[in-house]
Amino acid sequence: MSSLKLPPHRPAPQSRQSIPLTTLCQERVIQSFLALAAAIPVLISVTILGIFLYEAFFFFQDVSFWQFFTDTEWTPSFSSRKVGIGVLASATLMIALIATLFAIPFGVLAAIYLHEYAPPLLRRILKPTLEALSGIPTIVYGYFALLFVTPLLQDGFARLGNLPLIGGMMPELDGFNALSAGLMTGVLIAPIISSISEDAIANVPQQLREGGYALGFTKRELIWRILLPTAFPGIIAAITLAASRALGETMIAAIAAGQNPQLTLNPFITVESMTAFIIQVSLGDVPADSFIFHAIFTVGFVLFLITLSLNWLGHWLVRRHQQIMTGMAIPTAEISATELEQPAPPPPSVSLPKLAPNRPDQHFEQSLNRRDSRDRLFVAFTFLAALLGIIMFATLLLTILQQGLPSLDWQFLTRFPSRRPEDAGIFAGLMGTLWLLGLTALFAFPIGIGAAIYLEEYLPKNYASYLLEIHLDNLAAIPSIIYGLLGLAIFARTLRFITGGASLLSAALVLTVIVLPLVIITTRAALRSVSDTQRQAGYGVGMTRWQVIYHVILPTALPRILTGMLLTLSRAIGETAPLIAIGAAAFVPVAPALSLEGLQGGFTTLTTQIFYWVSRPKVEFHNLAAATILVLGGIVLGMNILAVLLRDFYRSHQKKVL
Amino acid sequence: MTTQSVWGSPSNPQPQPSIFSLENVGVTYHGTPAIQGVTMDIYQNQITGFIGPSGCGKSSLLRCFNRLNSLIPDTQVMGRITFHGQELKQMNPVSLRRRIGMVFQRPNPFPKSIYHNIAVGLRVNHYNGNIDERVEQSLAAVGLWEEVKNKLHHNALELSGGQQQRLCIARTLALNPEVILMDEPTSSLDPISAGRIDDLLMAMKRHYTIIIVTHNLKQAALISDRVAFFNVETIPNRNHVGRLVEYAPTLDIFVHPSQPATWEYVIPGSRYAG
Repeated sequence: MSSLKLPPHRPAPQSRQSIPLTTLCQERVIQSFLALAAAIPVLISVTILGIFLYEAFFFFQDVSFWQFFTDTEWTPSFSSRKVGIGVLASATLMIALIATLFAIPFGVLAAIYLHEYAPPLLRRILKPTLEALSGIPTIVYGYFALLFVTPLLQDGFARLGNLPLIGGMMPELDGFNALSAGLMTGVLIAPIISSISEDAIANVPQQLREGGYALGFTKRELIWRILLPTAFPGIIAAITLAASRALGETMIAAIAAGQNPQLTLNPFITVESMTAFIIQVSLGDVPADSFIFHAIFTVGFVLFLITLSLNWLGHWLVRRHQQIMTGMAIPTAEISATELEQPAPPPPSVSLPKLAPNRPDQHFEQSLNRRDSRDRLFVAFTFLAALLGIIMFATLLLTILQQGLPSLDWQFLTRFPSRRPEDAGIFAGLMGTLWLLGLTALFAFPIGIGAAIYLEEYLPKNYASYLLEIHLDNLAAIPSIIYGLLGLAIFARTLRFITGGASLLSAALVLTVIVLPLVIITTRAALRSVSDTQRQAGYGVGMTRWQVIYHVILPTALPRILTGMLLTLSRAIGETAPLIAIGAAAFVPVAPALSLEGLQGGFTTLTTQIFYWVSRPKVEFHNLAAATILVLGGIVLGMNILAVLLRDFYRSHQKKVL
Repeated sequence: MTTQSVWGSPSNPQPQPSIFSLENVGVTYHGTPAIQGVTMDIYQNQITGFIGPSGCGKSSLLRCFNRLNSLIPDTQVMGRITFHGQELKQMNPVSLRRRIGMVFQRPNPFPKSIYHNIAVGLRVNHYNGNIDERVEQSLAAVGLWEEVKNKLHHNALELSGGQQQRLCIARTLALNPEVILMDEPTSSLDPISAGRIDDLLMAMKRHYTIIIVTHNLKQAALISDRVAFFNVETIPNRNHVGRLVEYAPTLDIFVHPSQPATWEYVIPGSRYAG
């Protein structure tokens, strides 16, 4: 580097010409493919809507709207057909209501503790544990609700029933009931309320806190009287989104609340929710175009409309709240009309006799000790709420270890299901799950990353792209059972000639549709984290748009994309309801073969296996389910650890390069 | 009624008793000093003005008086401040803040009704008198009562910036504080609104001890009894740090300051005038 030669100042002969034609063509082709990928989510929405309208149309050929909304029974398969949606809706609403009532205090108090009180180190432990509650496969909660919470409650009810005074008032608790299902759904949605509420509290402008403290508020008083009221719209949004998740929750309701449709608001007896009905019907072999087939789609349609409108409302509230908070931070300097009309204001009344300090002011009680102890009590409450995550994890883990560990051995992993519990194993389910993971990754990642690149890098930012973003948020929040119905209609029925019906391929396609919005959202976030200066540097050395993406943006965003992928896959692995909806088999005696026939064959997975075993009356099968949960949990944990390691590896790797 | 004679004598030439006493006070953020080595007394029933260029730490110093700095993580207050002879660090910050009110640079009414903005402070501090009456008195004291008496239950954010700031002052007055801290209370307001606040401060002067941070020299000269001038110094190998340069009766600061830096600040261009 002793003699540094600068390039000649005149342009090189070639650079007079434009970019090579092949590069241009390549650019066009790539862009078209990316646009095609980005169109798929829209296609999914249109298809869902189309199927639901189509099936509901046939449904309402047979029954009237009047019957649908006013019947007080739900017996679609009887000859004296009654189809009151109110029956299923009452159970669904009751479970969601119990869940929300449980989750609101826990979620909000935990959010307060995490944002206002928690020391940084404790927060780093508590927040991820709490949020991980939302990531536990819901089948696990179903297991837990049926086999742990219900017996616990029954025992408690019985003990209370023996007490002299209230004894006569204690009702019997059925083995299936809305109460346990609701409580476990509450644990599932509490982290949603907590994390969105925490954002809402964090958005309250700092100046309001200072204003409160300057008036002599204690911390609890500030939280209670200023922060929570100001963050209220944001907290309502959190509750709305959480309620939507609770309404669409399928496996907990199907396992723990029962399959006995009745119009009631009694949480102690067996009921059937909308989602449980879909699962119940899917378990049998339903002929297409039968009335019951139209019925599950119509029920799904109602659920779809309810959750969709709640999600719209929730997202709208979140955005509105953020706008208001931002607006509050901007000073209002305009002069009001009254001030302008009176250019020479009269000097303010100078007489302040009653307000002049004449301390000690006996009007203010010396109540500091009482206020202080209330503050401490409040902190204790919020701390307990924030502990929910750890407590739940510990209880879940202990219960399941205790019940599942004895059955967990090598034979259990390598054997096929059997009618005799001592011979049964999960080899088919394990292979099915691993196959599904691979296939889902194969389908979802290219499409998802392509769509994300198009949406983030090519599509101009305008109102349409804003709508697309909301649309993706909504797709991600649709209950997975709805996607199961989509899969049943499209992949398992219409495309039977390719997929082979209720096959591994259909299942992989359904999971692809489910994780696609998540893949797109996480990839977009990763792409957005690449700073614009890097993009400009790429363009600055004469790269085309695709070259910038390929050589500059993707390598930088890769670690975050990869961790996002692993986390979405760990969500896919826990899905149960959509797989049952398209017809996962209860007994699969072979592992899928690596061939078209293998892909088109029947399948089972760890989660569906757990479901079938939990549904059996024998305790031995329940223990097998617990052992399967351990295997499933091990895989999810492994993927999460891998995600963390991968992120750390890339971080240190990038540091070395720098 | 013995106190009345003290409060009711605004032009009493005798030196007032000192209410705050600062010894070698400093504030650091994340270990970086913002202001250092301040030793001064604040006198009762006077308006003390803090002036100085941006970044000289006068707001940081102001926030020591009601211990608001302790709410910001990694902020340390060094030195010794006494309030009525009692060490501030030993006192309960909550009861302290009831006695020492504060008005901020930007009006920060709570996003609630006008009435609630004043009542909430009274309620948390367990005021056992008539709240309605106190709300009216406080609003009247800042000259806002006539303007808002028919819309007491409207949201305070509907008020103009100047009205909001007067509401914030009323909110502070309602708690009957002994001291009011003001951090550039008029800097985000239009001139008309700012003028009204100045009038109000003049009226309040007889009854309260006020410490006001201001960039507005005219305001400082008009309303203060004493003025403290702070300046930014550059310490070798470190960042800038604020120091108290001169603290004297207002007239002295503006007419014959003893320090060249004060000259330079209060009479810009004096360097060239010789």
